[in-house]
Amino acid sequence: MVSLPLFHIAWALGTNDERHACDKFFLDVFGAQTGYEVSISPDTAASGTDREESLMVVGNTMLIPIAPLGDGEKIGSNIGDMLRDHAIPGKWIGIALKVDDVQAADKWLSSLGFHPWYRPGFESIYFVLPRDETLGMRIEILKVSLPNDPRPKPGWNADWWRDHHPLGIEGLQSIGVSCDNLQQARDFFEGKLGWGEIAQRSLPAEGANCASFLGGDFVIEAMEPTSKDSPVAAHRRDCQGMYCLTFKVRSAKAAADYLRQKGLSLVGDTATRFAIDPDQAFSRLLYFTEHEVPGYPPVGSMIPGWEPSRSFIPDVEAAS
Amino acid sequence: MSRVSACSFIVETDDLWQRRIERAHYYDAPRVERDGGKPRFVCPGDPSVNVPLGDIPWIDDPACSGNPFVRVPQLEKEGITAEILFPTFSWALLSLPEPLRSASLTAYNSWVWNIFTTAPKRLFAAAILPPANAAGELQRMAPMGIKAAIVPVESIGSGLDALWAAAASANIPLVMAQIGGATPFADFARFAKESAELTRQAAKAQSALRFLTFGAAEGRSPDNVAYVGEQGLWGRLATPAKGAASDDGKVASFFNLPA
Repeated sequence: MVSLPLFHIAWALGTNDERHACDKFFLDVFGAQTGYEVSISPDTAASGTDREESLMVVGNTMLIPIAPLGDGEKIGSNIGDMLRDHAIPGKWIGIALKVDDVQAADKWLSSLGFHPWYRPGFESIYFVLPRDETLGMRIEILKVSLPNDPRPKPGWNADWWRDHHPLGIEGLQSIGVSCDNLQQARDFFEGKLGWGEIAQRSLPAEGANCASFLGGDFVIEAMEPTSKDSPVAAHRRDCQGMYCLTFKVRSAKAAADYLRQKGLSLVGDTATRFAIDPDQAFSRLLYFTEHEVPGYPPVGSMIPGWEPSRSFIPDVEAAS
Repeated sequence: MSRVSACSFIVETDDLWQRRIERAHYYDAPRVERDGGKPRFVCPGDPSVNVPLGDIPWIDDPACSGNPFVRVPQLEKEGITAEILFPTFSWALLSLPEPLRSASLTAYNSWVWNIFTTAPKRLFAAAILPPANAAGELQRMAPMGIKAAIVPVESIGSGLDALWAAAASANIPLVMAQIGGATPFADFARFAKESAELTRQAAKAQSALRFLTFGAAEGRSPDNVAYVGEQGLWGRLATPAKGAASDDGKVASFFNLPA
């Protein structure tokens, strides 16, 4: 079975001021640790740098809010236009997966009919699978280590977020992705990418039937709308791709109390699964639950203590 | 002729440590508090750290800003083509207890690296080394492109042989600072005098290395700047206009700045 580690999750903000506020939100509410910032000065702006972003970790999960800046503020800038297209409520950019051999990953994915997109000058480092080939979730395939990423460092673990931060985050339970129907998701995630289906359930509050797929150290929960006016149906129509993140917490009650104490409103049922009101979370859905989903593996990441042998992609040449 | 500042200050951002420090030290992390009265640099992990921002002469100087979009245009305006960044608040962290000190200094180093990558031909930086792992931190920072490293004068001795070796190998000058003067804003003249003497001794003992006594804090006085090279006391770098700036090429040469 194909197995790749989740490297990071990204989304876009319309302006750099919003991005700074978003960074502060994740520091204040989640205790996010910043490893690195892609930030620019007039010097680097003049040389074509097009965005600013923070590489933050919450537990084992790296979160990257990005905003266009410098060249990226100009209409027609490749990255700037992409960020503006994604900077609408409810829309995420997507995920990055780590590989050790970009060419091998390209051969594998190209053999499946994908059309990898390379940024000129970065061909040996990463490529992207376009949204229209991936149910709307941009998938980046990335070779390099991220600068000052704390997770691969000796002695790193994510226990602090579980044991010492009031949210009590144990890890990322799933990445929700809206789809037209579950067969479409099965054809894509399992049929094409080889990520095995591990669970099914219904989420009435979202108006969704779900099927979950294990991509390596992360779970994609595909969400099929149960009615035309459900939140998931609206997301599929207006945004596509990633719908939400769900964090597994030690105690839902403690997490909910803490978030309310922070002045945040909650949506959903705190006994089962609830989120910060997206209007107070930069228009993205961030869910919490203390419940395990039958069939899911324990939350965790392959990035700490990373060893290439722990990931697997098919060897296309050997297979042929 | 290019003008290079050998001793520029950068004012650390208010939440630098809360954002970057290892999470085990999150609640003890240094920070700037602006609520309730005059803003101060404090550290919940060590109440003795308490620096009123108003006591720092360059706190609002745009040329000392931690925001490259503020700093770089000001440097341009002042005709400074390159500079070595030295911390402002982080000197006070040399007196923290371990392991908070190491975690705090490491966080600063990673931040300032981030800053100088925003203007790679203009901004260069000195790392500040935690005595508990000075050589290790120097080896972490050297490949990132630091051009100097700050080490407490109290650390001088055979116990730091690994540091001297690492600094020599990486060709990185060491800057001596005094833990006892870790908040040097109050009595900087004494600090500079004492650390200059210790630096001379260190230079004599470690003749293969180059040392710079940091000393341009209070009003960026040129009198406080002593420069110790391989041949002994070598000269002063300061100009009245901008800290320890020099336009004679010696600064660029001393710090191995790219041409």
